[in-house]
Amino acid sequence: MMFKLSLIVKLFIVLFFLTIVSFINDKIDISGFLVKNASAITAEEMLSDPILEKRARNISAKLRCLVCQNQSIDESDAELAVDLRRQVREYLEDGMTNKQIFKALAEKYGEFVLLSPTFQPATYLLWGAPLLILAIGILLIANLFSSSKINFPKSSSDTKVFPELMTITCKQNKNDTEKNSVRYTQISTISRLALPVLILLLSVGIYLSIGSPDLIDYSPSDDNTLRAQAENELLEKNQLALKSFEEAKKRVEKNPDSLSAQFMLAATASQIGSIEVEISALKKALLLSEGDSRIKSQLAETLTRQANGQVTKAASNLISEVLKHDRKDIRALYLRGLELFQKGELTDAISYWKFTAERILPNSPLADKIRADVEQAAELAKIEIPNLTFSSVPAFNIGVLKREKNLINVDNNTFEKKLSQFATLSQNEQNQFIQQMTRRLLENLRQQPDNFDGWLKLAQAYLSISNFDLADDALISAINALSSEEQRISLIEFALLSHSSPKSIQIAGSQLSKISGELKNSFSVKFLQGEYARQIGDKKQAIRHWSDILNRMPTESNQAKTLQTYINSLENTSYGLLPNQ
Amino acid sequence: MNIRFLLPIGIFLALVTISAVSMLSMLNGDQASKQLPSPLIGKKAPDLILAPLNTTLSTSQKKSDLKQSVENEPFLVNFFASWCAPCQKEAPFLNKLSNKIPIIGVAYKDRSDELAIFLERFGDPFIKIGFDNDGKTAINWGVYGIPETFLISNEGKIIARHAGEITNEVFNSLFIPSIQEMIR
Repeated sequence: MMFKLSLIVKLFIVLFFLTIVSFINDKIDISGFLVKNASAITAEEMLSDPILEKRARNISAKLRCLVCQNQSIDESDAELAVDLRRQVREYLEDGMTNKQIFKALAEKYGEFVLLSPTFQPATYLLWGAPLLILAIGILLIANLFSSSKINFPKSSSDTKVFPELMTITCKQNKNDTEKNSVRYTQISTISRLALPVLILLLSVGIYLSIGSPDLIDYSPSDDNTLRAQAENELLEKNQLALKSFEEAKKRVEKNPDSLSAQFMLAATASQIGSIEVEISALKKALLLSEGDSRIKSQLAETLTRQANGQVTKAASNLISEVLKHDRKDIRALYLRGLELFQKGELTDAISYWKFTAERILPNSPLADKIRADVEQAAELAKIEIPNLTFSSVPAFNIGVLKREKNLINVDNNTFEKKLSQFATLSQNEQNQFIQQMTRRLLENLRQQPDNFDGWLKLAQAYLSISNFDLADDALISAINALSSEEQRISLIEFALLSHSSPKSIQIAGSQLSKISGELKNSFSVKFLQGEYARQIGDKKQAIRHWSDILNRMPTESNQAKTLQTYINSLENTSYGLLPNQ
Repeated sequence: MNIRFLLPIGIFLALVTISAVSMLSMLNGDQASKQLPSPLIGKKAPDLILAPLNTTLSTSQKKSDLKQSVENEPFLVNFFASWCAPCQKEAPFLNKLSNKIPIIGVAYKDRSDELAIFLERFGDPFIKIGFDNDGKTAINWGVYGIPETFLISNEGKIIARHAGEITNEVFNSLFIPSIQEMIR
């Protein structure tokens, strides 16, 4: 009898524990410890008000992503999740309370969108189940209490059922020391009662404190905790930025002639808002690079930022120098537009911005700025807002991504999954994916700036999202990380065959002149020299280099045949253009 | 005595049975029951103020309410995109359907040039097409994956919704009864 009883009690104790664990897991998120940082939110989405942002995060974590269903919209990368996150932030900016936001979304998507369901007829059983288990538990404990009297000889009902058994027990009891037995039953009753009662109290406490059956609304008193949390996070972020700034500073001290060190210093200085250091680092980088136009335009931008958005005389001069050299430099084009706008030459400003737009992706941060600026200029000039054409994403080279994987520490499963779906992802998702990859790559390179392959891969990644200027930047950093002649050759190959921007052709030229010794006569270097000559329009040199290799090749090989067609087409055209390569 | 112990076991078994039955019905359920129910059914259809696709196939700046292109008759609203495969699959059926009922298309996160190619290849069943590039209209309509098709009554209420590729079977089993009910 006792055995059977305790089995059922055990069963319900297990149920008790399960209920409690599931509560704690749900509310405190035990499993979440592993994926605490799994938020998919990007910097562009965030609100500037830290408290609203904090609230947005809290709300997002309670909304289901209907595409992936077991993730919250805070964790999901799905396009719908991104849109819903934006919607939540808009609601917050409109001054809606948490409850109003949950209600508004539930009206559109149904209760299912809420990760913890509200208290209503359909969910009575769901929310009531723990109470039900609790009630059954109490019933059982009462049961246990009454049946624990079995051992007491005075219990009348039990003696009627098992009179013989009782007499045996009683006899034994009498035969043994009677006092001991009574103490034994008392202790065991107390200890047997203690555990369920403890669990009872605990579960009631947990249920009351966190297992609220309705969505908790935001109240202004939460502001203080939220503000403290937000400030803490900001502090942490700042400390991190400060740390990398100090590191960059040390590296510059150790290696004042390193271009990448100066770059890093400028970048980290910009993060912590130390604009003077940023400018001086850029100026040094400019000297080291012997007047690189990319650094010039970056410096011009920083100078403009220093002057609170006013294009200064010094910045203007830099912009003119850059545009003389490279008419397609995005930053310089945008700044020239801004300068003209500030001078009141609105239509000219618009045409510069339109030209800038053609070179950038429609969803880049600068694109939004240009849209707003053009609109403003058009309004001031009292003309119709012109249509902007943005650059489109070229077909993405999956091979680049596959190679990138080796360098970046991403979860393999997610990576493979994303990669296999890559072609089916929408343009936005593709961009986002590549942006994530490049971000990780950048973080990695911040740790090890001497990773040549890393810089080259970064350049490739930028190229694939048509961010040509950043690809140039990455290429310049790759030069500083060069450690072997093989790397130099692959750099030139990339600069000429993949990238081929005015800047990268220039880089290829200077790097080609640095190759010395036997390597200079190798097939690949000769080929690249020919290609360089062709790209800068020196037809004769190109033919000379290529014929040189051709003479040393077996005439029947495929390579030789291809090269021969290259040479023929060069001889037959007046420009240095090739047929489809 | 025995009843006291049987009671909890009975409750436990009842709970197990309930969850088992609901799980099994979820597994064996047909297409319709797998869909998330839309709370918008029976309510007034949300706005469709979108940048329309004009004749030169480029997005114009001015937005208009596409719902105004249909007057006093039921119509369909189809959320689709040129980049979505099921949308291509359902295109022939939509083309057939366009003779019976007006269809308004909402191009979700699409580009006019790619949309033009899509319409050229798979036909254009729509009386009007609008662009929803920020996805806000989709959120207002509770769309969680394209294609999604809504049936709007002549009073402007949503009376049926189907998420996923729309087929003859879906139309006959879900949309036609809804129209008949509306007429009654």
